[in-house]
Amino acid sequence: MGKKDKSAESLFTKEEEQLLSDFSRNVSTKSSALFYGSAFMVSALPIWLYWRIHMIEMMPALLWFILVTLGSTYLIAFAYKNTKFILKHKIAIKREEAVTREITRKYADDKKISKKEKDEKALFQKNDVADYEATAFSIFYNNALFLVIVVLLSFYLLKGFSTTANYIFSVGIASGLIALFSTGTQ
Amino acid sequence: MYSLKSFIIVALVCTSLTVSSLDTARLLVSKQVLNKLLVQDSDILVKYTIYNVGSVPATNVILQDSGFPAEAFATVKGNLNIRFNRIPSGANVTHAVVIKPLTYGRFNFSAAVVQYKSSENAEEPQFAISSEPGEGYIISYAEYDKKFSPHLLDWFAFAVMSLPAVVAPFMLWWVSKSKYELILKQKREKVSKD
Amino acid sequence: MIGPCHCAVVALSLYAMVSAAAGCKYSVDSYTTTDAMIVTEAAFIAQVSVAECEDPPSNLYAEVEGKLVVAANAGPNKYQVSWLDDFKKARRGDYNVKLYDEAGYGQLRKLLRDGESISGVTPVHSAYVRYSGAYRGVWVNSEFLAAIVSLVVLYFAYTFKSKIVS
Repeated sequence: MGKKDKSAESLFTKEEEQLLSDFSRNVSTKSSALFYGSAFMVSALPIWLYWRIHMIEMMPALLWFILVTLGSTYLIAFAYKNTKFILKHKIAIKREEAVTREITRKYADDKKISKKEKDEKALFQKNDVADYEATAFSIFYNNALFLVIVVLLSFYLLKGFSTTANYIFSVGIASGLIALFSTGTQ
Repeated sequence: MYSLKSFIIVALVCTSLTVSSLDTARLLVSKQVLNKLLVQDSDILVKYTIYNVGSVPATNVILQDSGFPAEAFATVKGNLNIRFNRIPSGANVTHAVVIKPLTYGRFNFSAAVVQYKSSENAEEPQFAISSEPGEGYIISYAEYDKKFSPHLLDWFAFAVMSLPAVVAPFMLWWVSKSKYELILKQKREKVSKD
Repeated sequence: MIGPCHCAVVALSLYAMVSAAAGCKYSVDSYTTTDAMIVTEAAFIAQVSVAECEDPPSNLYAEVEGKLVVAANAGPNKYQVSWLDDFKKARRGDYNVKLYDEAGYGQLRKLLRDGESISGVTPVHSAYVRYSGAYRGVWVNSEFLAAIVSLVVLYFAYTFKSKIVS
């Protein structure tokens, strides 16, 4: 069994590379909606901190809240996409063996299915798994980073600023930074 | 933020010094506000100390403080009108009242008035006024809260709201990762057994 | 929003022990200042009311932990005993306030002058005033705590990411 797996693996690599090369940074509409929804939610979270803890005057700052939240939503969604793109390749390689094994086990008794079909199924499954994991991790990572930077900036580095300026810069810099970090190769 | 002209015990003026013979009681009264901050709806501690610097006991000593209007202050505990039957020569008594301001803004803490009998056979009561704590600024509860509250509940709420954004995607990733790592582990074990 | 007296435990203790001594019923209602963020000293205020008394004491005195306090008359059958202590020195817990009338107070002073034990003098009433300790703010600044939590999250996020990209 081990031998069979190995031959299958080497076969996948070529196809896999072909498949992976088709992946572009463009994401599906569904995943795009998820990204923007999540980015919007996390972008709006700091408003709570400014309202309850920094006790910002809500009415005069309302326009800023809207503008900054929208800008930050865009930047965070951008960071999600980039991070996901980078992670997906890495995860695909890591999951390859396990996915093949899962498919092999699943269709072990199915004689009707050809090896080629099995390989294809494994390839798609691997793509799905990598996509799913990369999406989830990218959202986690960028959200965590964003919130951490916002908290540190607003309560420490920008503490001396006026509340409105503190809000604009904390959220602006945090979303800008994670967008910038996401463009790195690592 | 606020300033009280004097927290220090200031020796006070006895209004009338008409009876200046030696065998009379003479009272000095201090009124102090023992607060770091004056905050709306929070305790203000007012301490009154009456010293008898005369040579005979003062009797029927009545302390009246009408400096806290009912529409602006509520009494938390203590009485603003009290009487001591007797304060011996050389002795002092203290009295404390806790009040709370119902609103915020500048407030002038005025003097209290003490009325007493300066000797056994004095017919006219003697008057003394206390030191004046002076003007202070009572900050609003919201202002105090902003500066001094730990905002534990607000932080807790923030943490709860952040959970779906951080923990939920993390869990989704973690579950999938664990599932495939387990498959890999089982396989390796099998291979090593073979 | 948290109420004005949020974490500060403001002790409003009501110990209405009713004593039958001398036919008078005493009740004590007390208050202590505990918010050291706002007030500079711990004030103990005990309001004493006397009821069903044919001959209420004209003067009332109190002894608390060896300290003698003259009660102020606050109206018919009402007295107020108040004393102050430093927040640092004030002990947390129940303070036994023993009330004496003129006769008891005279005895007490004589005994104290002679340096003798005062336990033989029976107070007309005794009550407890509870002091719950000073509130000096929270032990750790919540922003600091938030920053620590943030850094821990950051550490985990970064560690996992490094594992993925390795």
